Amino acid sequence: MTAASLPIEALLRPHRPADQGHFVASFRAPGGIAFEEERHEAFRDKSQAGSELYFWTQSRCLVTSPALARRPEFASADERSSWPVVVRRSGGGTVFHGPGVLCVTLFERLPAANIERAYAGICSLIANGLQGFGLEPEVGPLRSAPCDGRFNILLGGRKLAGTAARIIPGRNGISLMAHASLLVEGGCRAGVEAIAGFENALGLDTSYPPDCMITLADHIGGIDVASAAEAIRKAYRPITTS
Amino acid sequence: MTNVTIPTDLWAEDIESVVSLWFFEDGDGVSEGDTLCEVMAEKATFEIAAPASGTLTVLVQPEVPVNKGDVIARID
Repeated sequence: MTAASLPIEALLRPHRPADQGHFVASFRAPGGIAFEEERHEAFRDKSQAGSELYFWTQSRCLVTSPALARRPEFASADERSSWPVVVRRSGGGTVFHGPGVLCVTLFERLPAANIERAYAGICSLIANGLQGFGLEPEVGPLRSAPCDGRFNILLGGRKLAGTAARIIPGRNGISLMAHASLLVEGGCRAGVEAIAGFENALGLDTSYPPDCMITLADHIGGIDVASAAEAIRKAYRPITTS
Repeated sequence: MTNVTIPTDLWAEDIESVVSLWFFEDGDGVSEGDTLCEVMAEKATFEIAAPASGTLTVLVQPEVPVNKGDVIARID
C-alpha cells in the first residue's frame, strides 16, 4: 500500500463500489474498508428505516486509525511494515485483517445517536451467534490487547473480536454503522507481532503478550469464516419497516 | 453568533472525545447542515453538522480532548 504518499483524506475515500448480500464477500485490502464506507453512505440515503448486515474479509493488512496515521512517524512506519497498512475512519489503535478475520458490519437507523446502543447491537449479535457453538463470550476491556476498548468480545479472558462504530446523520434519522473484526482462523500471533512492530515504529511504547488474542478455531476445530458468519446470521433479527 | 457544541446525549458514560477531522478550515464559509467535523469517542466516530450558515471559527484543534457540551467552534 502506498499510504505514505497519500493524504489521509484520500486513503479514506472508497476505492471501488461493491454490492453484496448475506454471504462473506472477499476483498483485496483496502477494498473491505471502502465497501463498508460505501454501504454506509447508501444506507444513510435510504428513505426507509431498517437494518442491514454484511460479512466480509479482506487480504492480510493492518488497519489503523486516523489519529495514528497523523503521527509524523507514519510514513516510515508504513514503509517498514511487512503488512500493508490501511487507514479506517474510526478510532482506537491498530488491528489486523486477513482471510481468517471475519468482519461483521451492522447498519441500523436510530431516532437518536447513542454510542452504547451502537455497541450493544453488534456485541449482542456476535455473542448470540457464538452461543450457537456452545461458547459464552463476554464483553469488556482488555488493556493488554491491541486496539482496546470497552466493547471487546472476549473468550476466556482473551480478545476474540474488536468493535468500532460510525454514526452519521441522515435525512430520516441517525445512520449507525457498527463493526466487529472476529478472529476465526489462521492464528493471531503473527498479526499481534505485526501490530506491535508497526506501533513501535510509530514511536509508541506498546507491547502485547502473544496470548492476548484468540481465534474461534482455537476452541472449535474445523471452523471457518463462512460457518462463523452463518451462525451470526442465524442470530440476526433485522429491523423491519412494517 | 452560533456555537458548535459536542452533543450531550451521544453517550452515557463520562468519557473524553476528540475532534478527529475538520472538513472546513478556520475562516471558511459554511452552510447550515454542512458536515463540519468528525468527533471520536470510544472508538466511534460521529459527524457534527453546521447548526447555522456563516463563517466558521475553529476553537478546538484535532486530537485535543473535549467533553460533552464543550463548544468546539463558532459560526458568525
